[in-house]
Amino acid sequence: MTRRFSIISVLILSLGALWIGASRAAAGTEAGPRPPAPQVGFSPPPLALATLSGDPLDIGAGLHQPTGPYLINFWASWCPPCQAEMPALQEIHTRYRDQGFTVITINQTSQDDRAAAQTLMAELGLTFPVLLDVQGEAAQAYNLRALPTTFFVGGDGVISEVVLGGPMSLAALQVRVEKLLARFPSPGAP
Amino acid sequence: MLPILVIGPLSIQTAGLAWLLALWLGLLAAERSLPPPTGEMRAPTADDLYALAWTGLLVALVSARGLYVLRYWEAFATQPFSVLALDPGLLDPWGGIGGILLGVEAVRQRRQLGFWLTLDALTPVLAGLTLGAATASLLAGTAYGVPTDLPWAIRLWGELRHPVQVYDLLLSLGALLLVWPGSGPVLRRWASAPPGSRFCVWLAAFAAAQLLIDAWRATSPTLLTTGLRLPQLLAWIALALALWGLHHRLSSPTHTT
Repeated sequence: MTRRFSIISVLILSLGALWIGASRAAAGTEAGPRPPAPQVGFSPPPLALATLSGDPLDIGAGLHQPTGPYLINFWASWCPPCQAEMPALQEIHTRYRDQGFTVITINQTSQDDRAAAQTLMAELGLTFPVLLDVQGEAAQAYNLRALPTTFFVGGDGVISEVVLGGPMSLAALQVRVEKLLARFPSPGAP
Repeated sequence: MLPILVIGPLSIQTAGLAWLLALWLGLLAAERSLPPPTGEMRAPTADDLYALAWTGLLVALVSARGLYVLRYWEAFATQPFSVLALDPGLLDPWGGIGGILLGVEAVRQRRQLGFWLTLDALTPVLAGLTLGAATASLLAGTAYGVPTDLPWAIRLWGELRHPVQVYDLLLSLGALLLVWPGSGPVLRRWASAPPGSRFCVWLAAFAAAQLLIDAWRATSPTLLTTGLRLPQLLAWIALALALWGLHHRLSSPTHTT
């Protein structure tokens, strides 16, 4: 019984080792670059929207996209957790802008009131770029299911983390941003 | 894929819900199939089982957050209340694993429970949690498969892919059924088996399943430049340990059938 068990065990482990070797060849079988998708490990879906002030800003591809790591935060003025994390986002924008980190927020204008969004921004003294998703195309492209939702994108243009819900504290944002900056330091940063 | 469940004003993350349901299912199965005492060793009672599970989880949560805060102390020092943030991203996985082991071992020693009997008692909980992990991946669309053109491929993240999460779910369910208390003959067989064999059999089944399906997972980290998949290597080590443990238990002099 013991001898038979040992033989079967060795057989199973040998087959396992062979399988590990065989599947190594199959590793990374994704042909070519991954298509953009709102998921960790993919590049963010391309978007071309205008900011509140009318400036063009591209995400994923295009002339006006950020050069270093960045975050994309989806929000609406009627959403309490979104409002709660705005001051922390502003602090991140102020503190890390010169180090090459960009904060981009997308207002869900299709479900929000543009005037209410502008009032909130003025009340909280927010100066980071706000894109307007007037037609809901960004929400659709990013498979948006909850507000707020935040995508952290590395300097290699790949999504490193998706945070559903909030509010995120300043410490939580700071750790995530510093991890990205450590991995992708900006050449021009002090 | 259903990462968020919207019920009125509430947006619930389904992955968290899957983990909670799995824990409940595992505890339910564990409570109904507690191992009988063997020799002088004390077998866990239902009270011991819940003490093991809740203490383990609590210590795991505290240590996972604690280690994370220590690693990034600079950010938390000026905002101490952030330590209590309901943010699952602020957890250190190794702190969690270490915490659960420490918590469970502390309760086991304090209550003088037999080592193998405790592992057997907790096996359905572990089986439930691995089923929860597979369900959470399926709902959130994480741990997805490599592209394929097989007829049963699923469209996920812009491509047809191996439904690895479904493979994982089915195999984890199979491993859970191995230790499920509903079947009388199975329960009787476990009752007559030496302590520890239930845990070893489940671990072997789970590890073998992971070793197999990880070949089709697109998200697996590889070992440096070798191309060897790290989860497969860990699964192989777990399988070897489970088989060795089973051999050790079956040939134990205290084992009488």
